[in-house]
Amino acid sequence: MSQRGSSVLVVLLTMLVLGALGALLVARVWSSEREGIVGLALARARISAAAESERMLAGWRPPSAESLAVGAAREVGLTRSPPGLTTRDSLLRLGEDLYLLGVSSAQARADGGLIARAGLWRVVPVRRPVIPDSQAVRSAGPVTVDSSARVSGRDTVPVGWGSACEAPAGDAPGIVAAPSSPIIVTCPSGACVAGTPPETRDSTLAADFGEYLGGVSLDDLVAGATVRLHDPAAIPGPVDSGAVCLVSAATNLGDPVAGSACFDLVPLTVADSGLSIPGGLGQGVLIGRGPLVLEGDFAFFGVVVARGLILLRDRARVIGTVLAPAGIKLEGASEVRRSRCAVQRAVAGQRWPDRNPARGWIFRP
Amino acid sequence: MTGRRGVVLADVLIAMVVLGLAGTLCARSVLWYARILRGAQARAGLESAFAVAGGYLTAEVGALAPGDLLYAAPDSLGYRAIWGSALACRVAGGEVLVLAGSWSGDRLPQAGRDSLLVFSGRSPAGAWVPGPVTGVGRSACDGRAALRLTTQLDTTRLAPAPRPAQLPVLLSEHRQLRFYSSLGDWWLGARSVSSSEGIQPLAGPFAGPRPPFSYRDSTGAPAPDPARVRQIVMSLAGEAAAWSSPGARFRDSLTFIVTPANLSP
Repeated sequence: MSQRGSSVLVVLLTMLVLGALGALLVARVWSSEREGIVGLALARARISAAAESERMLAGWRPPSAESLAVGAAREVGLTRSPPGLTTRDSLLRLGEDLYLLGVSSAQARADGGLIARAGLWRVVPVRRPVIPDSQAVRSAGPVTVDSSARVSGRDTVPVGWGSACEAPAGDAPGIVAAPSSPIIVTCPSGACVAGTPPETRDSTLAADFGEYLGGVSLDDLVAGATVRLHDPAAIPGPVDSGAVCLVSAATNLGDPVAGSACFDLVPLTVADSGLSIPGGLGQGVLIGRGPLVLEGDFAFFGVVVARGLILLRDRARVIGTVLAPAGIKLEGASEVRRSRCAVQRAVAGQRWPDRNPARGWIFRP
Repeated sequence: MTGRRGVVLADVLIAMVVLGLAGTLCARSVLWYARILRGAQARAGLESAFAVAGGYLTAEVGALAPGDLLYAAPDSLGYRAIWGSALACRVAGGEVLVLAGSWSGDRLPQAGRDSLLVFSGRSPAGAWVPGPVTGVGRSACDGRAALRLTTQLDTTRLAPAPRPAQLPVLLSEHRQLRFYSSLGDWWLGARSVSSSEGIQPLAGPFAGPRPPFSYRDSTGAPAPDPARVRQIVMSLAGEAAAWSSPGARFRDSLTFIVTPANLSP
């Protein structure tokens, strides 16, 4: 009996030792797995915060940001997707043109307990496009003005805009061109080009001068355009319902007529490469992604810039300035008349977050 | 009775044989189990070392900006580590007040050890103005608790008045990450160069002596010049006891690639 008793004891002790070792192994594996889960959750939170900050900057809305007083902060977003991951956005206005976007992502267990959290700040200086307004036409390519067309560097205040404009500035050149750009004016004595002087050369004018307008690239402007023109049959113009401007109408380029319902709509418009705009009315900034043709009775108040040749014909008019890195041709009774006020008004509402300032990313635990 | 005595003797012999067999089996099981446990622990330890090393590298160099990488060698790198951030409510040439409520960092700033960078507030380019931390104290900003950092800033680089109401401030120090050998093992270690401290082991042991760091430029080509570095690569390998057989070893390796967000083109 005593031997059988000892056997049982030895077996029990052995089982106990093995059980303890097994428990240790399970504990170690569990701890390792837990470490992995936390690491994975942290990586997910970091990626989510970074992606959310990029999303916020891509969808930057100047009016919303500018409604914040300097020094004030606001929660601007809360998402709970995928399950367990909560991402919060806040915006702090540090200065007139300086913001701090804060994003924090937290990964929680099903019972709500926190697993990992990651946060970051994005410093967001806001840039404004800078459009040279001391000429009617600025070109790094060939400039052709037919006999009945007109280019004027005299500062014009559009009719009825007086209260929205400064007093007219002094005369400026009608045409500013790169040193190697041919200027062909076919009217007698060059009288169709006015300004002081009518035409001048700028040795600093590079062939890609239209790609960066101050701190804003043309690509930024194209990406942020609110109106896209692609139909050659469509005639753009103001669209309103009585006193209400229908800003979402596809071809509504605003109305330069002071006091009209769409006078305050000053859009950023992109035209497809090679598009001909057969007529109509508009204001703001008009960007051609390639060659651009303005014809018929089309009248535009603001800035026209294109990556290809700009052709004005018939009775097309631009009151503001035309930036033509690839050249410009004015035919028929077309006209470009300088207007500082129209240029300033066109860019006044344009704000662009600088997505990559120095040390723009600040990671916070 | 005689029959019963014989049976008792046979019982004892059988019990001894059975116990011997059971003991041998148990001993072998325990040894086998212990080997599995040691192997699993070694493997978990190595994976944990990899995770710690990768996490530290990401946290330390993930926000490097141009000029922050001071040197880039195969076995070590020196860099300006941004370890704290806050919002300044007052910035003058000789002092910066940072809001305590906005503070984020592992420790408080130390005079003589840390430096600060103040966002200049200039738009659109945006630039940071550096200065040493020469003193740290308590203060207040419009009734809110603040830290007073005594410094020397080049105020001509700050945006002219009126400046933004609050400016981001970063705290930094010079740190080094190094792969080094100690008592026959290879370790990843870190130290604060600004405080002249010695190297502290972070993770390991790893397989050596092949240095783990390499650097790439924006095209993915090797970049020996720190100014051109856009990616930092750390390749680590390690060995540990395996459980397949006594004396067996297994080898594992992992490569971390960090592309600092502020170095993006």
